[in-house]
Amino acid sequence: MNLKNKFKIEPPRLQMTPMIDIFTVILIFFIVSFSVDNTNIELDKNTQLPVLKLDKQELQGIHVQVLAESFRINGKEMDENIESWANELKKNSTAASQGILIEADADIPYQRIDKAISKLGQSGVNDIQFVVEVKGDEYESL
Amino acid sequence: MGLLSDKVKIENEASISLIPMINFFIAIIPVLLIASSFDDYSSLSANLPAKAQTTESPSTTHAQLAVYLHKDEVSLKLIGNNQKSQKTVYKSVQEIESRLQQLPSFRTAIFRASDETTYRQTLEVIQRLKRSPSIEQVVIANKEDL
Repeated sequence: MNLKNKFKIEPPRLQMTPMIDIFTVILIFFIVSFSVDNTNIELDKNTQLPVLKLDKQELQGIHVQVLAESFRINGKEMDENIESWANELKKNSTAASQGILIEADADIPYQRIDKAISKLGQSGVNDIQFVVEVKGDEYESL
Repeated sequence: MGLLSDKVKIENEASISLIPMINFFIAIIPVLLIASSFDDYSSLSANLPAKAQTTESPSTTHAQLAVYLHKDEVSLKLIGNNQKSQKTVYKSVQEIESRLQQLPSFRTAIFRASDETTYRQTLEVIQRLKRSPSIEQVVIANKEDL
């Protein structure tokens, strides 16, 4: 009789404790990495921003994407005409007053950046900001 | 009598109800997962040459530092303030950084890069210029400005 009780199989039960442990760890991790600032960087799939050792910063303004074949202002494809650049900047004048954010791939030839800067300068822009990815290690290619 | 005392005993046992807690976790984790940003961004600011600056003659402006980035080297040239121009060529960004520490104060560093350089290289040099205590602002010059 005692032997029969000893081998009595208990119904399977879900182990809650390890699951809650994992949930708690994940929850803490996400809360720490949660960002409430409205930095809205939507990069082109082929764009890998340059990496520099800088402090994290909230970025606001007009996004000027410099791609190998084209330029985009706030996601809108731009032609070579200076007037269309000036009109687009004028249309977003509130955002433009906060800053002009240049986003480009780290390995893009400077010639493309120069062209974008030239168009922005001719459109009346005086200050620009180059968007970079922040990393702890300093990288030098020269 | 025995059954009644067992019943009372069971009802008095306090236990944490885990199901609402798990429900809450399951709801909040995807929200945080989507809203979390794992990449940190920052920016390097620079100025474009205003028309007034370019029309000013070099003799009337304050001393300026002209920085020209080639594919494999950087040249620094002191201009203005009746100083004799000195052009020095450096092969690495560390050399520029140490040189910038020794320079007198400038209002402006005028930066220009050749077409064959990469965006990454230009930002590394601009970062060194911005970090230097002797430079107030970095102006990026175009071909038309020179």
